[in-house]
Amino acid sequence: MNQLIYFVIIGLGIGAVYALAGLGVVTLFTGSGLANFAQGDLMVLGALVAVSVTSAGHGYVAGLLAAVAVVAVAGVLLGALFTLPMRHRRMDVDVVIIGTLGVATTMTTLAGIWWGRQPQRLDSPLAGVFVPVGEMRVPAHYVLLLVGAAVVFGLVRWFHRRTDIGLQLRAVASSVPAARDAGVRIGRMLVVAWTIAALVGGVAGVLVASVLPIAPESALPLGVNGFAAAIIGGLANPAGAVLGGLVVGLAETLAGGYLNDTVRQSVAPLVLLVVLVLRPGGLLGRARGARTV
Amino acid sequence: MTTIAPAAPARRDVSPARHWRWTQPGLLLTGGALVLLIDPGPFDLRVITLVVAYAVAATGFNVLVGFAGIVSIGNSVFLAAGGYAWALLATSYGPLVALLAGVVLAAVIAALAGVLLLRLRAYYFAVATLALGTLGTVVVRNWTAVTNGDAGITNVGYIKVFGLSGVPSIFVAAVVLLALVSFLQEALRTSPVGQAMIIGRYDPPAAEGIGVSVAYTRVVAFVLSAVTAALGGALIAQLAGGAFPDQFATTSAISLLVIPIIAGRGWRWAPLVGAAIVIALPEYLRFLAEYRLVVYGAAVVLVALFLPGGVHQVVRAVAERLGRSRG
Repeated sequence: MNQLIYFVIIGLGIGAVYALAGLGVVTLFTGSGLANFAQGDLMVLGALVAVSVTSAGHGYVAGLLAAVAVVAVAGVLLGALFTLPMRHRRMDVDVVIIGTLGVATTMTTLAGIWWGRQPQRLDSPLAGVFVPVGEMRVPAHYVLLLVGAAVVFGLVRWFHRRTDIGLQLRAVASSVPAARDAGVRIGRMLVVAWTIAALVGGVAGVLVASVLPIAPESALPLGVNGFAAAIIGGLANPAGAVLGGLVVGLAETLAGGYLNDTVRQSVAPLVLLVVLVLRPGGLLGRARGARTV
Repeated sequence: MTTIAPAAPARRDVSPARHWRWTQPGLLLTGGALVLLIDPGPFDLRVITLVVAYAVAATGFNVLVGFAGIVSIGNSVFLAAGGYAWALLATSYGPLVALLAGVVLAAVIAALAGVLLLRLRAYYFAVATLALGTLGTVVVRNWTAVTNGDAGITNVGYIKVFGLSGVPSIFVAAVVLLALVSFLQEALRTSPVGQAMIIGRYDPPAAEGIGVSVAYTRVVAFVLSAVTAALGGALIAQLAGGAFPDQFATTSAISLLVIPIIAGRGWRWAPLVGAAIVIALPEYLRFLAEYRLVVYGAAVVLVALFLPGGVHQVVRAVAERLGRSRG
C-alpha cells in the first residue's frame, strides 16, 4: 500500500511536468492553430540554462530567472519567425509541421554543441528533504513539481481570463477574421502566444531537471509526452492537457514501478493511440479530432 | 460600379499535364549508367546509393503527402519493417523473399494503422503516427529475440545484380527500383485512384459527392507509402551492412517527411531531388563539422516558411521566366 502511495506521488509529480509540456502545446495551438513539435526543445533549453547558471555558483532562483529570460527571448524570436509568412497566406499543415521539426533539429543540435550531450541534473532547492510514506521516503521535489505546475497553470489561466491581452488571445483562438474585425492585431497576438508557450515550456524544463537528468536528446521524448498529454485532453483544452499529463505520468510511473522499463517507455504512445482511436477529440474535447467525411 | 476580383489562380501543386510515362524511368536508368561509367570514389558512390535508397523510400511518401495531403511522422516503422525483414531473411531465403516479406509486413501494419487512425484530422494523425514510430523504436530495441536489440543484426548480405558486387551492385538495384517506383508513381497519378486522392485532398465533401471514397483512398495512399518505405529500408540495411535501431528511429521518419516537402509536394522528381538535399547535403557540409545539422535545420525552417512549394516552385518560376523570354 505504501509502495502504491509512493509511486502515485512520484507519478503525479512527473505527470505535472507533462501537464506543463502539454499546456505549452495547447496554449500555442489555441492561440495560432500551430502544433509545436519544438516544445520539448524549449524545455531542454530552459533546463540547461538553469543548470549552467546554478553550477556557476548562483542560486536556484537565479537559474530559474535566467532560464525564463532566455526562453522568453527564444519564444519571441520563434513567434516573429513563424508569424511573418502568415501575414500573407494561410499556412498548410504539412509545411508548419516540418517548420517546427526543423526548429527542433536546429535547437537540439545547438544545445548539444553548447552544453554537450551528457545528461545534466539540476540541484533541487529541496535536496535532502523527504516526505515520509510509511518506511519509504519521497523526495520533496516531487511535491514542488505539483505546486509549480499548479502555480504556472493558475498564472496562465489568470492571464487568459483576467487581462486584456488574454481576452484578445481568446478572441483570436475562437475566430481569426472576427478578432481582426474587432481590431485585434493578430500578428502580435501570435507572438504573445509563442512567448507564453515558450515560458511554460522553460519553467517545466527547469522543474523537471531536478528529477530527470536532461540531455539535448531528451527533447523528443519530452515533446512526445507533452503532445500525448495535450491530445489526451483535447488539443484545444488547457484543463484537458493537465488531466492528460497526470494520466500519462501516473501510467508511466506505475508501469515502470510494477512492470519493467520497456512497458514504461511504451505507455505514453500507447495511451495516446488508444485515446485517439476511442475518442478522437480527446477525453475532454469535442469530437473535433475526427473528420466527418 | 462594382469590381469583381479576378478568380484566384488555380493551385498547381500537382501538375495536371500528362507526361510520357517512360521519360522519367528512362532518364533515371541512363543517369545510373552514367554514374557507373564515371565511377566516383567509394565514398561518393556510397552517398549516391544512400540518396537513391531514400528516394525509393520517399516515393510513396510523396504520394501520401503530395497526392493525398496526409502527414505522417511514423514512417520509420515501415523502413524498419523492410530493413529487419531483409536482415532476417535475405541470407537464408534469398533476396526476393526478403524484399517481399518486408513489403507485406509494412503494408499490413499500414493498413491496420490506417483504418484505425486515418479518420483523425491533420495534426492528430501526425501525432498518432509519431506515437506509432516511437512504439516501433521501443519494440525494435527491446524485442531482442528477433531484432538483437541495440546491437542490431549484422552480416545481412546484399542483392547481387548483373554480376556486380559490393556497393555498385546495391546501387544498380536501387536505381532499378527507383525507376520502377517512379513509373508506378506516374501511372498512379494519371489513374482513377490517383485522381481520387488528389480530389479528396482539396475538397473531401465534393469528392464524396462525385463518388470517391475519401477514407479508402487515404488508406491506399498510406499503404503505398509503407510499401516503398519497406523497399528503401531493405536497401538502407544492405548498404549499412546490417539493421540497427538507430537507422530507423524518428530522425529517419523526419527525413522521409522533409524529402518531398523540401523538393515540392507531389512533383514527380521530388523524391530524388529531396533525397539529394536531405541525405547528400549534410554529408558534403562536413567542413562545417558539428554545425552541419544546424544549417540543415535552419534551411528546412526557411523553406517551410518562405518557399512552401520547395525546389519545384523555383524550377517552375525559372521555366516560366525562360518560356516568357523566348516569346
